[in-house]
Amino acid sequence: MVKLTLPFSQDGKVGKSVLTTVALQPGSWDTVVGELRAQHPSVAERIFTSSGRMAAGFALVLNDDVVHAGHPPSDLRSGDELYVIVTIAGG
Amino acid sequence: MITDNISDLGNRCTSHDNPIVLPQPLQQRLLAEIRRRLPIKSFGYLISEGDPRKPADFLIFESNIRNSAEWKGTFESYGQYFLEHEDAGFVATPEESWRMQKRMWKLGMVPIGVFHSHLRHPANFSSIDYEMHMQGVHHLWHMIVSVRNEHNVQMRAFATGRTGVRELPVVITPGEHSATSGPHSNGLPDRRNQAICQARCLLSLDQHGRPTHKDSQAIFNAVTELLRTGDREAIDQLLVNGFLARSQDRFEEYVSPAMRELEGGQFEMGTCNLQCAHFVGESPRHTVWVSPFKIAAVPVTNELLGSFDERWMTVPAKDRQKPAIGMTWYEAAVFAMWMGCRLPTEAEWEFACGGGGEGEWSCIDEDLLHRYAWYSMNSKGQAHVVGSLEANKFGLFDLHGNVWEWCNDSYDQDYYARSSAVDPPGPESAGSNKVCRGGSFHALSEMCRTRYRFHDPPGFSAWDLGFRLARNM
Repeated sequence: MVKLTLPFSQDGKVGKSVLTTVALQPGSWDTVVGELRAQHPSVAERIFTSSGRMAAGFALVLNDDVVHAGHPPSDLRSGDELYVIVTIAGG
Repeated sequence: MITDNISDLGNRCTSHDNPIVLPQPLQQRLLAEIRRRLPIKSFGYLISEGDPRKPADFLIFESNIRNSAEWKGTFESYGQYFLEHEDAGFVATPEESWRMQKRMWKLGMVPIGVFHSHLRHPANFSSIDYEMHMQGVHHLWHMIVSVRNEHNVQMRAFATGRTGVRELPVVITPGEHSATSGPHSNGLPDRRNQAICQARCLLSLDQHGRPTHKDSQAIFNAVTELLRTGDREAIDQLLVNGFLARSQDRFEEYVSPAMRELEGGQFEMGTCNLQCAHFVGESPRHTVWVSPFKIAAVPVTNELLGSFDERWMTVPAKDRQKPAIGMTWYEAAVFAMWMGCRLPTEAEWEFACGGGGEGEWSCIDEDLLHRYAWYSMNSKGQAHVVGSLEANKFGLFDLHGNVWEWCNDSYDQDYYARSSAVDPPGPESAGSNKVCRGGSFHALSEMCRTRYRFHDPPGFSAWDLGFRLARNM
């Protein structure tokens, strides 16, 4: 399984238990995104654009390496750990 | 535009109003670090072990990719201010964001708030702050630390939701050596005598009729306490025939020619809930009647102030017709009183600015604002001679932009929900923050809106904060 960790709870609350961990089937990036959309539509809507890119304000980390925007991992294997992290911005 | 259920945040006290409790040592460390980094913008997280309103520490980012090819255009799309100031705005790198995330996990901490510093603007939550905050961290509150007056740093915290923004109280818990008030007498005769004695000392004038005491807060408080005694004889002697003895003459000679008489009337004050977006304290829109009043056509200038206050006498000739800045609310209020005037109420200011109309501007729309206002799009980062652009329909200049203007009112973001319909005087909360209006030469257009409310402590001053005189008919 691919383990995806998000930095917030699914209801958006903060606190000690703010992480959401989701187990996904290995496969292509598109497959993984599709599965997340099916299982957790509200989470997927928040972190992905309609084209499957990371939404502004988020970045992706795969096994401790930052994945640069527009270059999603080609294949995700069992045991891979994905993290969605927040990148803060403002004026 | 925020159009869904506004009631969860936009217009009433909620659990979101639970204060941010910032231990003083942490506040001092944070401010020291922000100052140390000047003029670099600071931004980061406030973190805790779980309590969402009590930060235990902060993390500051080192890298800012606001000017990267990926982000520069985004910021510049927010207007001229972001073209002229490449230090305005911040974006954390993904790499540092990941390091910060791992550090928080290691510390057993979670982010509960985001903070960033404003170098030139007040600690307001602007549209760019709101939009970028909502992208990833809308579940966190956002604190803005304004260092536009480095010696009097201001912090404001905001709770955001899909439906609006509320300002949160920030409570600084004292350190070990907090001051405690000493014993004082509650005896009424003592208090009355003390007030009169204080006024006798503080309201004295020199041979030219100028106040000898330079502490405007002390003078203002002395006048307030003297009036509170109700002692007619002392009030007449020390105030009417003393401190304010020639105020009518000063008004006639120096101020009256520039005053405009407004008939007053009924108007809609504030912004309706569905249009409030990220603007704080502007709703509900409500009907207000203002009585006829006089208001100066322009803000108080260096020249006017220099006629009476030696600190302004050395202003270079080219700047004498520019707005006087760097005045605290106390200084503005005392000067206004001494000139036979007062500061405008917030309702008067909004009526005067918008011409009593329902729009956001004194002109037809924002596209024409450059003809009426010195602001970030056209000011080149400096204040301009008053009255050098077009006047509004009442013959008033510079209400939008040039300098923020103190109003007489104390500030309360919920005041509009309960204010009186006729000549609202502002909430009764002496010593609390005072309303500022109109935006300044640095301001984004949104801050110059007729309805835009901001506030600062009465002892605060800034290089883009001035005032304008008003008076009853």
